[in-house]
Amino acid sequence: MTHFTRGRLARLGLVGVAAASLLLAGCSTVGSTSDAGSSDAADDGTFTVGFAVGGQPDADWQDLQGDVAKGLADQRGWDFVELSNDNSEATATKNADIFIQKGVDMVMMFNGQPSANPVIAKKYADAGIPVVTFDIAQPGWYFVGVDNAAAGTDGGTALGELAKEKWDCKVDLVIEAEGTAAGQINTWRTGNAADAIGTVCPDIPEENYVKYEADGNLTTSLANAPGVFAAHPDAKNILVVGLNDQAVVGALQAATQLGRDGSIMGWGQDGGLITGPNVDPNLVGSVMYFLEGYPASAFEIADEIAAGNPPAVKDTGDDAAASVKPCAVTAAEAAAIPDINERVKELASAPKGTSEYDLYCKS
Amino acid sequence: MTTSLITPADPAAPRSPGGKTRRPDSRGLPVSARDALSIAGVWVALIVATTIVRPDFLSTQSLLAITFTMSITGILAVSQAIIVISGGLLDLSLPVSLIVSAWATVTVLNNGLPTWVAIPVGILTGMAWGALNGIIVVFGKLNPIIVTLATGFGGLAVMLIFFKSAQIPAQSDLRLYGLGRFLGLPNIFWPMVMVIVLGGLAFAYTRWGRRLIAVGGNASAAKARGINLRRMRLGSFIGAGAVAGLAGVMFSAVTPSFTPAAGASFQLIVIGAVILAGISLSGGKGNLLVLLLSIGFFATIPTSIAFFGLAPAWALVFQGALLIIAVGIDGYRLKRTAR
Amino acid sequence: MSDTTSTATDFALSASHITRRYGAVVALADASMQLRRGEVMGLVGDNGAGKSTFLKILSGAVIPDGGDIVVGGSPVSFRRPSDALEAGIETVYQDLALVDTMSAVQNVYLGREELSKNPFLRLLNVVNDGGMRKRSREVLTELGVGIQSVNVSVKGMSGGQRQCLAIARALLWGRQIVILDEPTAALGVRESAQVLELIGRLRDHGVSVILVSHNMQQLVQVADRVTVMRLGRTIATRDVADITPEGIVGLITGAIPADVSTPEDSATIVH
Ligand SMILES: Nc1ncnc2c1ncn2[C@@H]1O[C@H](COP(=O)(O)OP(=O)(O)OP(=O)(O)O)[C@@H](O)[C@H]1O
Ligand SMILES: [Mg+2]
Repeated sequence: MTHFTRGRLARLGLVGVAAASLLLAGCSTVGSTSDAGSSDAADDGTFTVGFAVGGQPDADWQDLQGDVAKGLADQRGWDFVELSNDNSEATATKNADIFIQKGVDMVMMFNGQPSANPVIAKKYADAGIPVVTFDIAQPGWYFVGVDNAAAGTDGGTALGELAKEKWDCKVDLVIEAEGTAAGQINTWRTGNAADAIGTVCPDIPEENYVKYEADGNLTTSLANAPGVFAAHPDAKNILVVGLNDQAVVGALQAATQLGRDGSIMGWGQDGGLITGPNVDPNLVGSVMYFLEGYPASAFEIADEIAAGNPPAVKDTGDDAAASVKPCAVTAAEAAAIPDINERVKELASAPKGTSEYDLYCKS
Repeated sequence: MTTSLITPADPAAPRSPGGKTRRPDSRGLPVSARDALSIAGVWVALIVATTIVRPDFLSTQSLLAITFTMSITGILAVSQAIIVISGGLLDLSLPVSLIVSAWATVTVLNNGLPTWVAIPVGILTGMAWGALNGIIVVFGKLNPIIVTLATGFGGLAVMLIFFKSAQIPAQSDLRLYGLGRFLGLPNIFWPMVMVIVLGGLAFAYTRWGRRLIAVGGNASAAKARGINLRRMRLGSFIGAGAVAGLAGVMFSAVTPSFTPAAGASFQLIVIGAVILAGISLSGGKGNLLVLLLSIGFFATIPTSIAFFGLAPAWALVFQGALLIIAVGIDGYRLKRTAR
Repeated sequence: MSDTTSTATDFALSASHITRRYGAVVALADASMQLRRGEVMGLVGDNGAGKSTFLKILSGAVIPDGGDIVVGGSPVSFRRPSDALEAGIETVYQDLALVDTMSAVQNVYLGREELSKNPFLRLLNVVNDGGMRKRSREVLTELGVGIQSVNVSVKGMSGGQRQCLAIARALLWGRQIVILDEPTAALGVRESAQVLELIGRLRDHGVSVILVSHNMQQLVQVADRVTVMRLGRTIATRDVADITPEGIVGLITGAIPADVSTPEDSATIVH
């Protein structure tokens, strides 16, 4: 152990730290090994759907997407082959080969490592198999994703309405908990939410809107948000929007730490922290995406493909083949929505063409 | 060995000409005092610059913001400093150590056990994690950076299996402690100060600290003095783990909900603060009070940025640039004093 | 000249028939040495003769394959450096002696820090800095080791000062035997003189010294006896009074025959 030159090695190692921590922040690469679905797609004329779940271990909605899709395929009497991409480029690529070899009629997938998608796209294009991709766009693939622009607007509108009702639109500070790394999605969710507040309460002056970097996680948000409150010491009525629930709750917690939580309301995105026993009392609402329900939209496209008249490929976030409708909910409404496993069950027994938005958001 | 056998006088070129004071280090102020002054200087410059732009920067709100941001980073930095000073290079698994301890603490509380059980369990979990790293490093004779990089990844993977997110009970004493204040500053600020002071005193005035510095500064010399390197290295990992465990306890008190990856954002700031404090990656050197200044400086950056009204991404740019500068300074210090 | 008449207890250290090989390389074929109390024993030999290996065995850094070591009358078996330290043998390594980032007093007391006299602080493992500082100042003054302050880092000190500090440490710790491997190799003339002077003072304090040096002039200045090594064997021991530097060189190179029969001597005969 005494034989390496410490200083140099240490500095070399440091270079790796940046990369490592980015990776750590992102996701890890564990997961169950992919198990090919049982039904072999023999050319018996039955329509066969190949479904690749993401396989990211801390996201149970990914596995549940598979369950929902299986239910929808059964409903239609189709064959169904499920694989897991194991949150890995290599597995995602290998799975493409397996689907092609099994002769599936179409593929639906979530791949958290989009760098592999061009290769996979080439394989499917050569085999003439149409693909539906969730959340991450790839030219030539039907894009199914949540309508982030609408999610931002809906959340901001709901929060603006509350501010109008409670404070008569007298808002001293609108805090935007940004996640710059999320790019356009951040602009849609955070930016549109702030714009929507301005639409509901047009008299809030421009300088009352402030942004800070929350990086989409509670820890970073909680580290950076205190300064924002300190920099606006006279602000009483405060609104918070952001990339996701974690970012927003980070700001709300910072307000509590600095004793600025007397009159503050936050509206999150993604519903991550709006349910459960410990919801932050100042998180008044969030926007749920029902990620597990994506297959419902994908199967509408599949129906047309199976019927022999495939729709035009729409492959970008701006112009999606199917947009999943987001659902802005108050904390009270969120409490009434069943948990994810329950939702999957209810969706499976719902009539064909029903989305979770239809089930839980039409109040 | 350079000399021939029959030279009448010693012809070996005098490698240390003059033999007197050759380096500025040995004259005037001790190195740590100069480090302290330069970091304090930069910190004061930042405060003055911010105050010129926004006179209301000097407020209790800013003080609360900065001290709060310092708290967990500070405890983690002490843990990292113990590793670095004792020649263990770096512990890249510190974020995992933090979260695993926080998770253990919260799990104990969620099972209805009292706070006085939860806190020791959190600290012991950190120690166990440190022991795991230490055992692999010491008995596997492996580079600690590689080992902790690996255990960091492995630990995260295992945590992802056991929990998606963990929440501290909203009404638990620990949670209420995390929301409270003492002497006008956040409660969690004080354990950080205590750890820095106790750690600093231990390094400076205990046999244990002396030997740790010696092992980090020159392991062969320490070994030749009869110091058990294995025991010291293992001890440093376990001790650093205990401190990381305390950080985990404090983290769980202020973070209502966290995921396995929630510790990642501390990594670069902690390493940056440690290096900026003059705690050289080559080991055997460091002063925890300088570290306190360094942490204060790092913690002031986001608040200053908020006061300047700069775009959010600047916080990341600043901290990244600082890390590069800190590593550069460390390399420069080493080069200058190499001979 | 031969020491075979004395019994082992008369010696500070007695090593007999030590062997050690590294794979195919025989670093020590048969090394013996009888070190009297309060004498300076020179150890000489050509490069690769096995001097360093022999010293490392006596200081516990290398474990011998065979042979016996007796220290102060009792047989010992060193497994690690701390065993030799405990037996009263202090070794000064040229490069590895000091921790650069620590002060002179910290270095002197490294591994043997005095704990505070206050029982409570003692329990907390707190060291007695004042006491250690005072005592090290005394000893350094007594030995004539000139350093500016015992509190500054040793990094800024000259090679001679560092070497003296490392040697003085031995006396402070009450060692009976001090082993020095080429202590003046990297030093200038004046600094070498300092070190040699210090070695003389150690002897005056009753300490036995083993000194490896390639510099015969220095050796005859300070040593009482010399042991000559050749190809892993100790081949002769002489009183310095009886021999010139040229004589020692003759023994080293083989120009003067060894006291014991060695393989290359017989080879020479065949030749
Ligand atoms: N760790 C080791 N591994 C292999 N061979 C070694 C090792 N240490 C010493 N040797 C070999 O043992 C022999 C004796 O080496 P040693 O260092 O004891 O000689 P020396 O008399 O001190 O020489 P020098 O005057 O050059 O210092 C040499 O041939 C050397 O190459
Ligand atoms: Mg040698």
